[in-house]
Amino acid sequence: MSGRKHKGAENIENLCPVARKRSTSKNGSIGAAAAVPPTKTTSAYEHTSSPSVLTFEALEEMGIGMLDSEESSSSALSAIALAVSTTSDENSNETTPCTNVARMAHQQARLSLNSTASTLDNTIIEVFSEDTQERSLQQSAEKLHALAQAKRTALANSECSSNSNSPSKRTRNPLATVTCNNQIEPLLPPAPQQQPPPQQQQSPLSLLPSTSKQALRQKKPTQAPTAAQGAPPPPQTLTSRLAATENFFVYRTPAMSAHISSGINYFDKLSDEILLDIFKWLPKKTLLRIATVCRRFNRCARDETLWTRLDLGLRTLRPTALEQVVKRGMPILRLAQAEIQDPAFTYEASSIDFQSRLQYLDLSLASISLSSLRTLLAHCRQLKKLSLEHAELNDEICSEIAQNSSLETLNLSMASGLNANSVGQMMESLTKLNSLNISWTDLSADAVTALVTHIPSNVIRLNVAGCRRVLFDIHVATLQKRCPQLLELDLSDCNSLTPAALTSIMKFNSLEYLSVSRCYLIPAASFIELKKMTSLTYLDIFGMLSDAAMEVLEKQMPKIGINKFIHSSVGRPTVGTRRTSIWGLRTRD
Amino acid sequence: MSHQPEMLQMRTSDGVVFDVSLKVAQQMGLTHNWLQTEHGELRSSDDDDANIMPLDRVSSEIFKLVLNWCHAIQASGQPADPKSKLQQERTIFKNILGESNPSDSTIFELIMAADYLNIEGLLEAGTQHVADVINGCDSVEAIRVRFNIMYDGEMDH
Repeated sequence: MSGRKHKGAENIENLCPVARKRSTSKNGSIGAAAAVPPTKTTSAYEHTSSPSVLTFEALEEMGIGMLDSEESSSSALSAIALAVSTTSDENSNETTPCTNVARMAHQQARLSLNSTASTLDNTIIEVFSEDTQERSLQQSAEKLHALAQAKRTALANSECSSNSNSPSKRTRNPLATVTCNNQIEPLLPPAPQQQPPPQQQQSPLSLLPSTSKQALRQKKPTQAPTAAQGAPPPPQTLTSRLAATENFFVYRTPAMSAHISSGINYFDKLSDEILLDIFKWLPKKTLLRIATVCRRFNRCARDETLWTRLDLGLRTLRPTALEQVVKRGMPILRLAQAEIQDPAFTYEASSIDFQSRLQYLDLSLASISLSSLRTLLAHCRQLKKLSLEHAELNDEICSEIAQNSSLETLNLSMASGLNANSVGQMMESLTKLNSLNISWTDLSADAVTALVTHIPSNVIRLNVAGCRRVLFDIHVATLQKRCPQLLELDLSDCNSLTPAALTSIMKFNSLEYLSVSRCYLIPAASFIELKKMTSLTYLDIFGMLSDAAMEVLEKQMPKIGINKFIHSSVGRPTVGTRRTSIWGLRTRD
Repeated sequence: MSHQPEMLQMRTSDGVVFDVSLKVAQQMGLTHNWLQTEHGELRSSDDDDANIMPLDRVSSEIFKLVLNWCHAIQASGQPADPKSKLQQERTIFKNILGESNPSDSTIFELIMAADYLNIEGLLEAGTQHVADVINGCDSVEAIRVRFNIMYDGEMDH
């Protein structure tokens, strides 16, 4: 049987049910059209046999990709690429296992079935699809990784070993590999598991591909191996296969032939600079894809000029995907509402060997574990703006945040896990801070004290809303002394504040925005005092006055906009419906 | 100093001399350098060779296409904004490529010529064209096949 087909067979076997259905339907139609001359079948195989198709597209089918945007597959691809490459070492130097024998027997049975008419093949394909649907997705994924990797190795090896067609060598078409195998292994059963015994039985095989295939077999989990034997060989005779070798190009689609003609790699003539000029037009997903084409593409696709910003909002990042992302070194990264699965990094925070170039990091509402977050932040020393809205924090994480001495904007709204120590440490270290949102973080009174005692004087926008029963007039007084230049102050829901706080507030000479919404201890009558603040432009006092009283106040303070802003924007990366920028910086190229 | 000639002579790598109007030639950044350094003054005609700008890295075939480009750009005038400028460049690029299936050789040679001659618009259009082809490939293998790229082993992911 043709090894060519058993590449297709492998493909089908190791795809998950969803992807298998897709390829199966291709092969199924092939089987049905068995009466059609071999030419058609072969060219259709070309589509299914490519390892890269398996790796990327098939995996997307499997749901390893995420939402349907460009960036969605990118982190998966990276993680997958990583996963694939780690299996390669294990694949390389393995010997024939004895355990394959048992599998062989079963496969011989299959083989006899398979070598009959094409219509039967068709049925078998369908049978196999049903069988294998019972297998778990995880197994398929592992196999797929191993398979794809071994395929790469195999192909690379066969690239060296095959000497038949010079075009095939240059073009490195899987077909070339297969035709080599065909010539040598005419009776080879479809799936790779079967290779060692036939090897003994038949004329010497070209060992290199076999070895990696053997290695591949090693890699494959032994569960349901028989089902793995998968799709039957193509409904073709050996002769027609050999004919395929000689008339290699006949089976190419016309579009491909036009370009294969000269066999020259024109990219070799271009400088790296021009190559980057070409790559800069490519979307990130394609960039990741081409990184596996060859070494040079890999090097250029990783160039930092191509990775200046990345938006992975709402995406799911598989384990270690975040590590790949960080390694790309983009300064602007949006991970808002992303789900970052553990373990996000293959190493601990203590063994980090490089500093990331991240400057603008949006992790608002991201789902990330404490250790992963800590490791992520441990890479960052150049952050300028950071949003950890709704994040779970701890002392170590805050300590890493504190190391970013150039941090200007920090959004910790609704974060948990802050205490007096961590707050104090951050305030003492982040001397360049000018926007801080630490609202609704369940601060203790001590933490509030630490905050106002150490807050850097550069801070001009501060949101400490939600400090119920812990923020007192004295804190406001201290704050005023620390940050006299404050422009924006949100004290809403700090319901322990009394009119005395207003006295301190009045000392802010530049204050433009003030919110004391729902600070019920401050009577309506006190607000008129604020009229004396010349800089005050906006005042939010939600929940304090009746409509009638509100009207009166508005009349008395015509120059001040009252209750204009329901939501504070202090420190927030995205305000309103804009989702393609953080802090005014584009996140998509 | 004699009057500025309207034409500039340019000689490609295969010895063919082209007469190019100065205006068109100035689309090429390389001419600026040439005119500044070598050509402050027009020499007399017995020293003709010195007035011909050499284009050692461009063949006449490709240069013809380049000239087509430059003429087309000149003819279509200045577009309003960057976006329509890109559009225009791409359209012109497609036009000059002419035949339905331009060979890779032509496309890549054009890109290299655009780089050498320092014609930004042509370089942009050419690189975009190739990027489109890359994008059009369904898989990594398809890219390798399409461009005859050899897979050369394990890469750091």
